[in-house]
Amino acid sequence: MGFEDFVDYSFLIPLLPLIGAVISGFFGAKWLKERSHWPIWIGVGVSAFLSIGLLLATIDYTHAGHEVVGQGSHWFDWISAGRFHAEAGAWIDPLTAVMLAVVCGIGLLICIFAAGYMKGEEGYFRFFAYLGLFIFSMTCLVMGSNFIMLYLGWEGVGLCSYLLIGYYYEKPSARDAAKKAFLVNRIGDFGFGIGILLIFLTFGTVSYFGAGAGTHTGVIELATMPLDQLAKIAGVRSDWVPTALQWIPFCLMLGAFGKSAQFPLYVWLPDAMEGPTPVSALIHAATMVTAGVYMIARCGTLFAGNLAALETVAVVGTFTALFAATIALRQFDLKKVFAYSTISQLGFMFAGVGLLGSVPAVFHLVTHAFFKALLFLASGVVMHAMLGELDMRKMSGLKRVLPNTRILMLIGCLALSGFPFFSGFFSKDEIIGVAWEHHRKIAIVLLFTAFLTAYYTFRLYFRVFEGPEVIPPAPAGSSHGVVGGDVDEHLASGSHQAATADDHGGHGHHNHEPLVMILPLIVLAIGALGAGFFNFPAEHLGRFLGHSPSLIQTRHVAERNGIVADAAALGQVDEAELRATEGEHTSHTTLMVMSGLISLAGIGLAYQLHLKDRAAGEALPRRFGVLANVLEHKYWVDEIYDAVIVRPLFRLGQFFYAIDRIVIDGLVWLVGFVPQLSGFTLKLTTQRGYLQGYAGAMVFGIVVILVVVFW
Amino acid sequence: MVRRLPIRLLIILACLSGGAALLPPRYLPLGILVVPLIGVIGGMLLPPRMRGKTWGLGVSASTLFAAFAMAMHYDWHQGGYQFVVKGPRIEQLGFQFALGLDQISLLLVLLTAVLHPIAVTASLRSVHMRSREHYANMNLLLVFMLGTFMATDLLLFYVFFEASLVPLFFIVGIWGGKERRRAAVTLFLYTFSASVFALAAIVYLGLRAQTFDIPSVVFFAQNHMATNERFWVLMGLLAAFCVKTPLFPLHTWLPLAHTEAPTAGSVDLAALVLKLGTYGLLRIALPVGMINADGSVLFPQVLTVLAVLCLIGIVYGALVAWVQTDIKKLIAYSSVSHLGFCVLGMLALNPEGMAGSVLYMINHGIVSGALFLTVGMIYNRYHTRDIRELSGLARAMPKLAFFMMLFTMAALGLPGLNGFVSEFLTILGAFTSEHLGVAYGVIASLGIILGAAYMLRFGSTLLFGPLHYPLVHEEHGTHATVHPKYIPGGDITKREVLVLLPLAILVIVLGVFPTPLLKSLEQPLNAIRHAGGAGAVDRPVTPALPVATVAEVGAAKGR
Repeated sequence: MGFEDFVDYSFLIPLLPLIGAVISGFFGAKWLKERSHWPIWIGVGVSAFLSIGLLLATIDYTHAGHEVVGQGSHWFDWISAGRFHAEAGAWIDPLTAVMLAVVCGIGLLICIFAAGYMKGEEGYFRFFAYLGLFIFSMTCLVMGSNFIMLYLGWEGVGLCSYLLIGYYYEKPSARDAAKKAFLVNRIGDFGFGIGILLIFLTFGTVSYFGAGAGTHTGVIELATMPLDQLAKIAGVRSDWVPTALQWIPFCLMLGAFGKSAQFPLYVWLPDAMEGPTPVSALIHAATMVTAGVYMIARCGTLFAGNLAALETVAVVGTFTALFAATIALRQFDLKKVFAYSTISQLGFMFAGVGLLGSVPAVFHLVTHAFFKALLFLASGVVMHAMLGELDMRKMSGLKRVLPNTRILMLIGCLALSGFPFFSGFFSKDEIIGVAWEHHRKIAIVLLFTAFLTAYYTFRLYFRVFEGPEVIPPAPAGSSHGVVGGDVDEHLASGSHQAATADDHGGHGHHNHEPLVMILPLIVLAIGALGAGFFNFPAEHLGRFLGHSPSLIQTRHVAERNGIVADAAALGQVDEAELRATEGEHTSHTTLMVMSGLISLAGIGLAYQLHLKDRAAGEALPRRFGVLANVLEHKYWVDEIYDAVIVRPLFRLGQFFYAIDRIVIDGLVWLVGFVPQLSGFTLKLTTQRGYLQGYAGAMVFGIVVILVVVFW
Repeated sequence: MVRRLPIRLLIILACLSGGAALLPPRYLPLGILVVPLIGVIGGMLLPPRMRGKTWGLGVSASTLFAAFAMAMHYDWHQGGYQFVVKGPRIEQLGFQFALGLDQISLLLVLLTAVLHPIAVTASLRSVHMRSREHYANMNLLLVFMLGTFMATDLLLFYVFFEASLVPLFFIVGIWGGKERRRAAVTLFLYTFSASVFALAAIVYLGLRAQTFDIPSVVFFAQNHMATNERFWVLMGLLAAFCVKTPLFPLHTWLPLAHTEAPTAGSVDLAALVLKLGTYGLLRIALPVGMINADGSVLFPQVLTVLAVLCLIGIVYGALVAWVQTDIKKLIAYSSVSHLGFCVLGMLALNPEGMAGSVLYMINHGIVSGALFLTVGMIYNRYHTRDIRELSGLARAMPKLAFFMMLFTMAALGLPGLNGFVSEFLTILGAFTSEHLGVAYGVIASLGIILGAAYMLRFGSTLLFGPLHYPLVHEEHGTHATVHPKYIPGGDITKREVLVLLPLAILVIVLGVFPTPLLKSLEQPLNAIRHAGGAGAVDRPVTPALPVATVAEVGAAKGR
């Protein structure tokens, strides 16, 4: 099968998980029950197979000498009214192919893990139905051929995120977290929606590439045209072009900040950890939250002409990276630490795209998907074994009871902290490298953040897995569906089972490291170890992504506007240039050594404070009392939101309702008054007949009503 | 014996409805009005020991067949007014009993025919008192609504438009909640007094144009009427339609009426009756008063004022909906917000906005109807509508939770469901309109955030959280008994699933494949925007009527 065939059948990739979701959702409760994961496994499995096939086919296609690789696939007309057309269809290019492979590949692994993790939970079928729906939405998001498809996926993943955060819906905290996630995302979507409207207003279309790459009929390519040429194209409002081009990236950015949890719209992500851990891994670490990065990489041409917008993205990303990393320093819940770490790593990616380094950003996206999913799932195993306890102050030295998990967690932590030659090292380093060349200050902040990252990651690792063994008692009212009981007993029976039975999940629910859960983790760990070599040293990923028309055009726009675009960071490397920049390579090596050392320093500090001399580590917050307090309360951002936005708006609503009630009560009073009045009028107007008199009274009445209403 | 009777009735009804559907196409509009009318009379004549439930529902459903038959016989390619029925013309008045359907009318008739029987099912187990009259009133309302959508004569339109108030008055006033009397009287007087202005405008239009045929009146108004005349006519028409729609600040009758009406009444009121207002705006007020023959706008200031009121309504309605504790009121205020979008799209006067607007009427009908039905299902079990007394119903009612979540998402405009398409198109229309502009689109987009806020307050609070509901103390009154089929803490019954299912399917289908609908709307909307109405007949130009002539006509009538 060639590239074109895969494109023709691309509709199967979202469709199959959707069918799986429908089957699980409607037949799961009654008939499938404990087998509800099968429709999803099959649906997502085939999709993952197709995605990876598509990726390989696309790679082959680029090797066949095609410079610009990108093809559309029309499914059906979705919305069509007047001048507005939005098809349901796909646009397949290297960027899409990479994203699809990540989404479906990691998605499949997590679906497999979840079957073990969620075993015996109430609403098992529901969970898998949501997962299927999520993969459907996410694939639509990354493969859609226009902004409306993007919006469909965008909101669809938001819905799934809402449903999955609220999976344990009886917990008020889960309910509130779900609502918060949806609403905060909606603030971003407000901007995103206006961005789409502006795009339509400016270019007269919402399709990325219209009739195809090179035809200059789609938004991405129209945006590359000089203004005077653009004005000549039919359907383009020339008077609007300059203003709109200025605003579009800012609007889109707002959407990206919401979905990808950037400052100030990041507040929903830590709360989202209320969802089951596989959800945190899939949606809130590996895939959904990277949608913003994908979007900015996709519409690079809309950003590249606008220095202010690019700078904003880079600065916000950098700030978020640092800000979230500092909060992560004082979190005690395993998942919360990783949540803030995700926000921070997403900040790195935004810094990357903001500096026109789409390739490093996407590269980091890929490696991050591996190691962060690994970390979340591994902490899921810990949570499973500890019957829902995740507070790192209450546990220590788990390496004996969870030996496999410990190794997997260690790999993940090393990758996250940028330990040399683990995947996170290469990708993070590339972003810092781009920053180093173009924006030294950002690079320095990012390097410092990398140090913090290494520190908080290993603080967690050393606390939980090393040191003297402390196993927490089962938390009261364990939210997790595992039948309650003593953790020690639970673990003892588990280790016993693990020792005797070489089980394949058959007797797995006493084993706290069942194969169905460990196997996906192993695959992810291999990724966390090796994904760095996708783009190092040969820059395979970069060259491949460089065939995407989005990136090619972005480079053209950036060059024309005199914004420094690192060709390599957009995947545009030809041999001559490579030789010319030989010298720069050494500076890059220096940077690599530096960031490796920084990572080691962070790990070393964590070792000192949290393993070797824990007393010193615990004394530290007391010494910096104010700072620790600020961090522990997460800078009071939630409280500020509540006081500045939520409450005043609610008050306003109550005020309006009070007005309404006064008017309604006034009306009811009038209702008693008007008939009397009409009777009175009737008396005066007997000779002219009943009807006119009544109508006259009505007229008078309405005037009175209007006076009351408008007063 | 008693068990067998409904079956007989059903056979009779099947014949009736089948007969209606098999009528020659040109008599279908007449059939769709007459069959339920016969049903109404028949229902009232049922023996008093019968409650007439089956009959009532059957009569409502009979129009469904006729409406589907219409949709099948309608020549969608040709478009324009079809199935034209014309009665005798009263020459002195220029009044004629005339029915006909173009695509807009047909879609609204279909919406009515689909939603009304579904609304009636809500009464089956909750209305016990004077139930024959209840169904008679419901079906009478159906006749009047269908008539309004099908009338091609202005006076006939007005007659149906106004007459619909009468059954509504009784439905709210007799079978409503605690404050039903107040609500009914307010509803009646408020909307009726506003309509008086429309009557004046319509009579004036008819006398000036010497016909009440809507396309001809529109043509006449656009070509031969002075600006001043058109302004006052427009004001009269707007008074009636904006109250009915309702447009901020004329919405204050709505929360009371919606809240106090029985479920079936709320569904009809929100889903269908409000559309009479928007339909009137689109079909009559805009072309007569605001659009010139060349497509330009006659009173841009009025348009601006209306659009600003829409925007205020969108934000205001949403904020007020957000703070409600009564779930019915919450949905009622959400209608204020939603219809703001609908009218805003219409005022954009471009193909995208107007098509979105008509689609909005249909989608809002489906979704708000469905939401009121689900609220009714909850009310039937727990006899409360207070959001603070209910929570975590997903635990007890998973099936209801599924439907409610679906409709909530449709209401807040999730792409892939129907609400999104119309909301997006209306905002897009306003945004790109030469009469409105970017600022309007941006402010309307605030509805994206606020809509999510109040709809999630509704959905999340009712469905999620720890399970909690009040127990109903049985009282021997008409309004406080729980039907034995409705077990508190039990899920919705199969029958209720069957009621919600068609709406759920519509929500998804219209969300994924709205294009055929949007395409079919292009032609009639173009006609409204440009050619002075489809099928317009240019009548001989008459000079402006001096007042004396009006008096003469009156005198002639008197003789």
